Amino acid sequence: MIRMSTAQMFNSSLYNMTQTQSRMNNTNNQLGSGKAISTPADDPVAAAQTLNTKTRISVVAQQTRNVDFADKNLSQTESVLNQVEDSLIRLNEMAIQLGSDQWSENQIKSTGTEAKEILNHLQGLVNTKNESGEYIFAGSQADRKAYDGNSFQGDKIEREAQVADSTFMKMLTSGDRAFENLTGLKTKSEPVQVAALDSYDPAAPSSADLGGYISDGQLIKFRNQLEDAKQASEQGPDEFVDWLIAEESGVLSFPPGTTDAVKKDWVDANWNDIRQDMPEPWDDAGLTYNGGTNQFTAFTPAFDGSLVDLESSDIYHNNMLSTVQYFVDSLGVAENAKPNKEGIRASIDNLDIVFEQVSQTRSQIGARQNTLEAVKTSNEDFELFAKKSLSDLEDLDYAEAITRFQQQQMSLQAGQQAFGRVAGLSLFNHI
Amino acid sequence: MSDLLSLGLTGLRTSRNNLSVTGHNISNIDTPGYSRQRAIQETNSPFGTGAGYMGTGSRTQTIERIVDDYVTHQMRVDTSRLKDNEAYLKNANELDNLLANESSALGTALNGFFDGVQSAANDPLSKPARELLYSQGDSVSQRFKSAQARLADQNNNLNTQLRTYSEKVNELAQGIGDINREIRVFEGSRNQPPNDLFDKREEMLRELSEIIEVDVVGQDKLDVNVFVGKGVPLIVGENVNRLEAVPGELDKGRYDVNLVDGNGSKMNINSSITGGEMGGVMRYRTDTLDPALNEMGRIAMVFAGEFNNQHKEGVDLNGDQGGDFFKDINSKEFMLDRVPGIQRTAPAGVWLDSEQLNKLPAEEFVIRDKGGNYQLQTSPDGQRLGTFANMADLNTFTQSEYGFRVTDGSTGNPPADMAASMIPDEGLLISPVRIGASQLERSSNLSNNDKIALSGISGDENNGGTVKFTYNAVPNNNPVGEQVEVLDTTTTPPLDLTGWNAIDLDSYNLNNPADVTNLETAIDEALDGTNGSVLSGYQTGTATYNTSTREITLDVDVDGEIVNLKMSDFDFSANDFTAGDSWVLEGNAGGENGAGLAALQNEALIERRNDGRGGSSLGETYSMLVEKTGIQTSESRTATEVSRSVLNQTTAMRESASGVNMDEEAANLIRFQQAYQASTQVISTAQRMFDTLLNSVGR
Repeated sequence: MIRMSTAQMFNSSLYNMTQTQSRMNNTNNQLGSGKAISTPADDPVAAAQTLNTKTRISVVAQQTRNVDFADKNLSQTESVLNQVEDSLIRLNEMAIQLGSDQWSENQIKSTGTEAKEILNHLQGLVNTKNESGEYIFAGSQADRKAYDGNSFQGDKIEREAQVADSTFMKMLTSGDRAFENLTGLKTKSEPVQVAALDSYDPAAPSSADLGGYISDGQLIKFRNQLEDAKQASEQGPDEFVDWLIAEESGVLSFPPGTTDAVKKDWVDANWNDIRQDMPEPWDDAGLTYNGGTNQFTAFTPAFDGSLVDLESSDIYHNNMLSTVQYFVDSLGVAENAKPNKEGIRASIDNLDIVFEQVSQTRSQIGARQNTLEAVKTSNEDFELFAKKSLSDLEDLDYAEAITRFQQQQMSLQAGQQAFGRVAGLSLFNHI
Repeated sequence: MSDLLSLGLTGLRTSRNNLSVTGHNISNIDTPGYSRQRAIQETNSPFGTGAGYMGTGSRTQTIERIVDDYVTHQMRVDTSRLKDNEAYLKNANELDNLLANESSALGTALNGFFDGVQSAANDPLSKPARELLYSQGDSVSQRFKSAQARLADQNNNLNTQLRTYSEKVNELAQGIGDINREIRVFEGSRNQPPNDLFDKREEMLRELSEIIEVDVVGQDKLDVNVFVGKGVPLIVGENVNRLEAVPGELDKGRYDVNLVDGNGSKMNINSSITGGEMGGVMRYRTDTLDPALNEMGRIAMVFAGEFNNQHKEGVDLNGDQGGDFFKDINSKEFMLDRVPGIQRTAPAGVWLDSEQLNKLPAEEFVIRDKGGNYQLQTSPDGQRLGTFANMADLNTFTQSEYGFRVTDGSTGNPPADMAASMIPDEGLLISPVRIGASQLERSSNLSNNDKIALSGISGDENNGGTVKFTYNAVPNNNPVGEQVEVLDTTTTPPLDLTGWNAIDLDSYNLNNPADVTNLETAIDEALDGTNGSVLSGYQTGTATYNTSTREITLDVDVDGEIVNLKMSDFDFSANDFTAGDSWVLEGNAGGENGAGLAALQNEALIERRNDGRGGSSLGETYSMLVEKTGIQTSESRTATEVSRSVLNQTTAMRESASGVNMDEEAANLIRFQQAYQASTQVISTAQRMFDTLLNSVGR
């Protein structure tokens, strides 16, 4: 038999009641919050798993946002390319139509006006911006126009979005992929005469406006004005000499690899070798090109007394806009220009090449979007799964908790009643 | 007849004593520490007559208290254990809640920040996305700082608690000393046990054991000597020593507990304090709070350092190489603050190697001067890591093992070693990351969101090799604001590895410096065209191979400007470098570096081995901290429950032996009252006998 002290009887009843109350409080908290785990100490391993799962969910949710973002960009690109295709189809129709001989020059010219409009439209399309203000075809140079005139000034970098742990998806399509580096174009049959220069007067150097046809790194060709006459006599040497616009400083020089023999062939108006008149070394003839105003401002004495035509042969780039430009030019839209049948016919093939590349790019975008779709579905599956396991880890089983609560309630009530009875028992009541 | 009278009187006296003791028991029923008493009754010496020995009644021999010494001892032990666990649990609960609470948890803050990075990387030209990331930089720092502040508060709170406990210990010890003296006086004057004083002393010892574990050794049955912890004398007879809690000798921010003896000499007893609230608090500080602070600090420092490293590899909207996103982890005041014992008063700091943040430990160290040799130990467990002849050797060791150096706290990369004379006699505490969470803040160099460097160098999509080019991070000691200007990227030709010749790495022993030089020469020749391959713009003779990070740094002429680049992600096999692979410097809308920044979220940045395996990400490390704290809290919760019920049992045992039972006392009351009444009847009988006699002879 164990001896009980009076204090002990009170204390043990009290202790049991406070214990039950504290457990009830815990159950009550769980019922209120709906969480089985209120602090990590309740289940440390589950708590850490929960944190990791939440991090995963956050990462995957961000990846899903990336998918949406990429998809939005790709859709925009795709719709622009769709419009480009429509325009190209129209141009191709025109080329096929006008390629036959039944059309008069005026008819061709008037159709050319429409072609020119389409060109303008295309020039606008390639400089499309998205809502962040990015020129979508400019690659990583998207803070400025993808095309300046007909020349591409972006780069080929296509930014990638992380759409799954190890899956990166290109969310942009560079103009380099869609419109540049076309091969097999026929656009160089007719060099365009840029301007004619007056005879050189050392006292008053003349200048010629190149009208934006040339830019850094481009080749231009000079031709002696008397060339036609010489060709007629069929004894002249190759009348073209290439010159390279080297830098923004505008100094003209022979392109690398020009042999002395070619330089030597530079002749004056009277068909005399003017080599000895040119300043040494050969590769700096003293021509000055001002990139800012696109003007030549001086000639060396080499050109003394001669009349020189200035031509730019490389004004057409291997890209979509130049191909269309060539087609428009071939239609003779410009003042005093004549339609060029050869050019129109070449344009049929040219436009096909362009169309081919654009539609190929479009289907690449479609493929990317398909992948995005698949990735998104799998991301969403994961999210669902993760949320379920999160719920298993931390959410409360209400049925169990309510049963527990009632048990605790009963046990507390019983304790209280017992306490009341025990407290009333005393021998002092009877003496 | 007179015999009968005196017999009755002894009975009367004894019963009255018994009744008094019962009354004393009843009135002390609720007195803490009271042990029930009883009067020991014995027969008086008999009186020999011819008819035999005649009894001479009874007397009260002594009043004794009913105690079980074993139970008394057990009560103290169990009280100490419970209070230890309770004090630990109280503090651990707070930390546990702080770490897991959605609104304060650092994991959530990191996730939010990296979401911002992703959005900005997706859309590098978008001002709102950049602004979001910019302000997320502030908000994540804020979260780390406020978590650090909460833990620092807790640490200060512990200091206050230690001081309060010390004072309470002193009060109780003084009281016990006084009672020791009183007991000696009382016992001496009556030669009877002063029961109530014993109870009082035992109760005070029990109260003392609530604060600290005590070892009570009785001395000649009167005095007790009290030792705390592992045999530290607190009370010896009437001589009482004192405890004091004072700013620590290694770290002023963490209080030490000293024992001060009568002569005023002090002894640090930190490590010998066990049990009781004081022990629980000390245990919490060493086992839970300090590791949590260190781990949080490490997460912050690795995060800031690695994010900066990556950020410097990119290019911002102004076309400049990225600078620090977060404040440089080796800012002067940061380095000085990592030596808490010196507190910026002298040139001593800790420099973290931003190239080797994966080695950074969440630990603290102590350097001791052992007569000209310097011993490095972990703190507080004191595991010896090595003894070094000078600071340079020590730093070589810590840098290669732990990625930090103990320096003079000046600028430099790394700064000069700390003067060995800075080490005080008691040792120098090195805390590389303890306050790291407070050192996370957005760099002032990042003055606007244009300076967030999101673009970088992008490889061509058709590249066959794995090698990656990045801008080489500006070294830490670059003056504020000096950043490498990068040229307009449109006119820059791509970097191009035409005809790279594979280098057989196996033929070089990278532990041999001479071989590393040979390897560098080979790299140089492969890049500059000596062997027929050319990296456009490569500056001859600049390739440096870093054997630990396995990266090549090199100078390339980009349009007339020399740019320092880094090649990484290769193993020198032919597949890594493929002839003709090319890389382009991105424009403003490039997101290469943004993707690199975002990838840090899942990279195993902490404790990754040099070969790139193992380790865990920032988020995982944080989860592990939460888990560890959770386990500790949950363990201490269980331990508290267990020790509480153990104490309850012991209390029951004590109560069972020493507690007062009302019914028992009521019964005693009746019994002794009846005895008393009976004794009066004896006296009355004696009187009547006397009367009878008188009447019969008086006639």
